[in-house]
Amino acid sequence: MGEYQQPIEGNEGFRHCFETTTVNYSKRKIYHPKLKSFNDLETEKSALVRNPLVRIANFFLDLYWAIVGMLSAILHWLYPKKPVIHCRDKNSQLMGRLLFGQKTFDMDVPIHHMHVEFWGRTWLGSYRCFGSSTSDENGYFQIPFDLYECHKWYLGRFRLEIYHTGYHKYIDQKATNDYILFHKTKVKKQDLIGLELDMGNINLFYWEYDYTNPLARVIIKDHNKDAPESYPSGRLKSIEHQFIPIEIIKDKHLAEIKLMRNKIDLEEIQNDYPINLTQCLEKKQLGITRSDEWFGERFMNGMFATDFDKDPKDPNLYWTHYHWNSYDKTTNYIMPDVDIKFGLNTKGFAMPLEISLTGALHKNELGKTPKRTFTPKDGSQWMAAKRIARVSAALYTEIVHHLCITHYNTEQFSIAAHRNLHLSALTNLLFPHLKSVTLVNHTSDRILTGDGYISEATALTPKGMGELTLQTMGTQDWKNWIPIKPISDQHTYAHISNLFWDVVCQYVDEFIDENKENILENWFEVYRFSNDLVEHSAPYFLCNYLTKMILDDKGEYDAKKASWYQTSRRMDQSIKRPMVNGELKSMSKITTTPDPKKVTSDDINNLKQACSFMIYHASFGHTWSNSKQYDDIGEVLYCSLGLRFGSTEEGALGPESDLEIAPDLKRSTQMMWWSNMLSKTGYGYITKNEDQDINPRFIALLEAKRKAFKTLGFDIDTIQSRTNI
Amino acid sequence: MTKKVKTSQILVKPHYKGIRLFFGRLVLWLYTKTFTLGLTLIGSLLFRSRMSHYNAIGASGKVTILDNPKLPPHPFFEANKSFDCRIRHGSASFRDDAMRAVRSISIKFADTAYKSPFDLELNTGKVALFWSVASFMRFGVYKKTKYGIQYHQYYKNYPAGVRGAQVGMRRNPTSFSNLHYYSQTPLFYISEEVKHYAKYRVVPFYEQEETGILDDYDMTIPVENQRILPGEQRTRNYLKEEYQKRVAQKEVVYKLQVQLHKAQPDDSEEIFNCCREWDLKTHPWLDLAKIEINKTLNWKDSSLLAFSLNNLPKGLGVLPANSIYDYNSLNYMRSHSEMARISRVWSYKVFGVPGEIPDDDNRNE
Repeated sequence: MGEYQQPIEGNEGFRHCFETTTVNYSKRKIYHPKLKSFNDLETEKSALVRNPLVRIANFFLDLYWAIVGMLSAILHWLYPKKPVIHCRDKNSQLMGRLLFGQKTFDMDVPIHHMHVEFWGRTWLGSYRCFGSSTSDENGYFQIPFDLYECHKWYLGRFRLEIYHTGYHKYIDQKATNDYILFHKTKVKKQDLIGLELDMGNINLFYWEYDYTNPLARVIIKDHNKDAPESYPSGRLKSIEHQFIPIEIIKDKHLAEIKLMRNKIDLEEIQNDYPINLTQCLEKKQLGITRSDEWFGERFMNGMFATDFDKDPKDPNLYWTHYHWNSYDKTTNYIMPDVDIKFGLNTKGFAMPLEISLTGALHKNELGKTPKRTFTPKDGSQWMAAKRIARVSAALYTEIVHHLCITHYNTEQFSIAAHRNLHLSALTNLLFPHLKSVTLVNHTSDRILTGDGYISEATALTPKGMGELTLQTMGTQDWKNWIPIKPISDQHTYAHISNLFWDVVCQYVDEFIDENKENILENWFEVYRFSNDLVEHSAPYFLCNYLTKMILDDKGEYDAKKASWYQTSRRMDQSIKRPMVNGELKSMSKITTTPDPKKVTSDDINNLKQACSFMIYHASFGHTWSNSKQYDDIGEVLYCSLGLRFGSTEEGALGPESDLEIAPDLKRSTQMMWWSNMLSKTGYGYITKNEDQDINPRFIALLEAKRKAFKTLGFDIDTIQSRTNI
Repeated sequence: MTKKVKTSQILVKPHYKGIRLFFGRLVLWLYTKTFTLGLTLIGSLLFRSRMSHYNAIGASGKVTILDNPKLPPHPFFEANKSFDCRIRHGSASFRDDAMRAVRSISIKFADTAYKSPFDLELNTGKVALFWSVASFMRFGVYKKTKYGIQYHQYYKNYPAGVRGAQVGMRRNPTSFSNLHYYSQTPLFYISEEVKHYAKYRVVPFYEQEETGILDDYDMTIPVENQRILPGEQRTRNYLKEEYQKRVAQKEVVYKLQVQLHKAQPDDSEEIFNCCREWDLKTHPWLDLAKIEINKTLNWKDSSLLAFSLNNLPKGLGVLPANSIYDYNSLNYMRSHSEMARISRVWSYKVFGVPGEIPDDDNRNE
């Protein structure tokens, strides 16, 4: 193995690979099948529309819907809903109460600050507005209206309309709020008799927490019917155009594997997919991606971008741990605990010095947990150990850094925000970054987690996966959170993270200071947002090892004892956790008061921190762990999410040529499908601003740092504003 | 002598004008007549029953107008003038005194079954549970009675109805004689060409605590549930029997009072709303008459009694109404439902008075 000029990522000789393997490839052609919907993606066979007859029928169906849409637009033009209130004397009231609405939970939780309107229609169809109002803090609303205006003979149909705060567009640098009709209830004309007409408790199935899930997840029974939000049309179009070619490749492979298993091999599968970064680099220089230098670089600045804890005995050394043995597992794949010791070379790059693997690496060892330690002197076994470490890191990144810390984290903020922020200016700040995450998480529940790909392609069972995600979410808190501190100048991921964090913090600080009056006016929303966030966050978790190593005898955080522990990018262990129903919660409270007069500067700072945390994770945090997947898990033999026991006596420590170690053909093509889908089907970039919902000030602040990002080898145009894939 | 004042002059600014005013009045008239016809055919002739307040006891005595200088003069209310009178105490809707119900007093300034110079109908509760013909019709539409529970949907829809029921219902009062009764909907009262709106009430002449007001426990029971309490020992007729005994022992004395509002051109129509009280500071109750009751009537005579808002002297009367949503439409309908009363009385005379309410265990009816 030769010496490599580091950084490999910045090396002119390899620039071609970094540039070409990140661009998109051929888009969907007109003769390609169509994707039914985003939620119809499957690891097995996505619901594509292929049959020519069905496609013709679909064409007419599309035509039908287009005509319906056109007629609707004409009707809207003919009968605009003018916001003119027809009222001479407000002598009556339409009243009621808005409550969240599951049959067994949430029944008594009021929905505050929802916009409600009372409309009537003439027999010819035109609309008349009779009044509007907003639900109060207890969910009650009163719409004053003129009884006599309602009883004009030409008015026939009446309804109460409930609107929720939708998304925002920035027009001329200003946010324009969009209230979207969420629910309408018929009002009988005969019931309008003066004084008050009580519509009673109106239970809305609105951003409901799934109480069967220990994580803060929203209930979606049917993605296309009752989801609390929907993808922007641009997102659906983009995924169809970008992804159909990949879907066709996977479908072809699955059919070939089923029909002529002996005629297809891993190489063919790999070659059918677009070339990825590691393959490209290998073509330039054989062995480069299996080198220690590349290994270290990727653990610092690749998809894995790991946490480096100092060696308690030698502060110049670092440890990275991936421990799996406490989780429920099958015996179909290897899944040892991995501990990697790194040192820094003279240029400041992490170099692997030692890899310990604890757990079965051979079928004969099942049920045992042998511990093996490898160093660069171990030749081929060192190469195999690095491969196992890469795979372990990839799986850990996929579940912990990608799924939990960005997807689930963003979802818990998204639910609390959508349930509680309605009139506050914070909706302008947060909603563009929180949208769509619940939808994509719902799809991943079926195809990635649970009985999905991870339990099929790794040793983790759905139960084990649940344990890991719950524990991870038990370590997530916005309070005092900061991005990872660089361990050297070459730790570009850390430098980029901090640069982006600074931009986000500046943007959030400015926004909240500018809109402080509005935010304070609607502080009750922040209070309820904070309560929902805390109450539904995962139980606080600290593993036994850390309990021993960073806490004192009284269970308090001991900074001196924990001097080896990387505190950045992790929960602040020194603060007290809130207690809910006898359970310590992971998330800290943003505020403890609903009264704007009692809001302290600490509360405002908390709000700023929490908002920065949300935006950071939903955008950059997700972009990093997601979009680099094709670079680091886009070559099956280099890295995947799971490895098998192999066919030789060496077990999983055998060479890459033992294809019984790599995932089988089906999992391999699915692996490629995953990494392609996650990395290549982006939509909703901050600078591109496809939906025009990103605050121009945020874009300007980011643009101002474009050069600084570029110097670190990062293109700000690749940062997605939201977690939507 | 009071000059005749056109009722149209008593209007506050109407909501309707021109053709809408015409149609508003026409619809009100049609509603009223249709309702009266239905009530006559079905209630009075077919079932030979009152629309409500069937469960009642009549009594007779004397009314004396009090000398109250604060009262704007009216020729009918001449100080110290006396009238023979009849009253009728009733409980609304159900035939069980121990049920939670609105109680009533009707007063007739004559010792006759029907004819009189002045009739008043009053219920317990400072505010009513319906406020216009439209609301009364909804009250009727939503009347579904089962095991002592009724008007569930009405109360669900209309909080004003709930408030009216809560303040109007009485649970097990010790006597009809200690309750406070209110006319709720105003009538007009013209004193020396000065127009007033008047609400009346009847209270015990000698101050005593009102009984039967719903306590905290009762307030937790939904208003539609008018059932007797579990383990109730009082009989179905306990209140009527108590009144009979009380009057036999000693005369029962009430005070008729009036609350007046001087009509102003800029008055809001809310002044007529029977679901709103008038401010006592600006509209104090003024003593009007003393009612002394010394004899109770038997079931037959009590049943033959009929009271009418048309029995009013000049200068006192029903306010005009312009639509079914008008607060004054309630009294308009009452005054236009004469046919139902007369036909009920005649059906009693021809086919006999329905039987008395038995003291049996058939409760919550």
